[in-house]
Amino acid sequence: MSSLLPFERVLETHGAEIYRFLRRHVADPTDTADLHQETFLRAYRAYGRLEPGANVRAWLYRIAANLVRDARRRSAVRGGAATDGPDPIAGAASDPHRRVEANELRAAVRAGLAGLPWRQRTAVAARVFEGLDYATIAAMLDCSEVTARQHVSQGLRRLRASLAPPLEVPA
Amino acid sequence: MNDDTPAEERLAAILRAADPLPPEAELRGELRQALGRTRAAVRRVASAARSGPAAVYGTVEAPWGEVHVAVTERGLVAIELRTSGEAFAEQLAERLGGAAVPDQPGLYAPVRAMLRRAQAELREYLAGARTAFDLPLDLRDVSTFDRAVLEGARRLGFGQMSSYGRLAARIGRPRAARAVGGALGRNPIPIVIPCHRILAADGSLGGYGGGLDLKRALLRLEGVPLPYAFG
Repeated sequence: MSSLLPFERVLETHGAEIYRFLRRHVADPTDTADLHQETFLRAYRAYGRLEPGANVRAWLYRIAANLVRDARRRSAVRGGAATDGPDPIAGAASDPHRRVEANELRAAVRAGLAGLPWRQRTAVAARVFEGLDYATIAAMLDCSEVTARQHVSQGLRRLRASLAPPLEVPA
Repeated sequence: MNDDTPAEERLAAILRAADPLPPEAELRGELRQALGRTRAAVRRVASAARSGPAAVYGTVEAPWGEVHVAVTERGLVAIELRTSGEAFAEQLAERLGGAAVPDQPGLYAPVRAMLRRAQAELREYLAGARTAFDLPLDLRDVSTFDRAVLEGARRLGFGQMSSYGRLAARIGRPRAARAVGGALGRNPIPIVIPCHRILAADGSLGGYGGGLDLKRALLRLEGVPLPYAFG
């Protein structure tokens, strides 16, 4: 345990990237902040039991990814879709300084991601936006690197299909 | 590390250009707020944890192995006849909603003193040199019914036997013999709450959380003839 950083340093080091990760999957900033807090509280409680040399970053991502999945399940049970609520970007399209086209693109990507199964969605976002390596993604999803790689490929293939018209993505 | 195909790379680049995150300026504000809230929450939890462990535990050597004993600032809270220290600490933390730690210097002295007293009394009992315990008990998480059963059991003196049915009658629930058995099975402080002194109506051993061989050993220690016949 001595080789682990004090927990506050963990929060300072990884807090921002975990927020970004969550925010890509959750449309509402207040919901994102709640999940962020929950992620780090869970991590804090389990931190003492973490093995020295453990991949703290992958472990945090994994807690966050699981919380996103649970939140989506809860909102699905309620019949709503809290994590995919009104799109803040589409909502901000009235801002004259922002280019509508870019907003449409973002909204299409967000909708495309939201349409993927959880594992593919998490893997694609982690790979494309966070630039995480496959070892970390595998640790996040609790699977092998080969499987993590497959989740990314399959997710990208589905995204390409759903985005082809708005993005004119070559197949 | 980069083992994505070129086609995947091209799609990834397009996706990155359309990252669904809000614009940087907006995000910075959100981030500041979220980090502030999370930091405060972690500090709150950390300071609650620093205010002290919920329970302190130690061991006592018994003929069959180590017995674990835990106390809180209110009194004796748990005895485990067979589990490992780690499992014991986990169960305790679950029950009390706070950490259970092994006895060590620096912990709150009155709690440590209470633990030493409990260990000493238990050692004396196991050596046949003590017939009654003089310790406050912490039964805060025990239900009202279970507590009535355990307090009923506690009134049985050294070597004094009862049955599930008799104990049920004694606490005013004559038809609840089976439920009495359940409550005794959940007894968090065996030996000191002498659930081993309660047998089935026909004098057979009934059940015991630590195993029937332990029940037999404790009764032998108390000089109870087995098989037992209620008079």
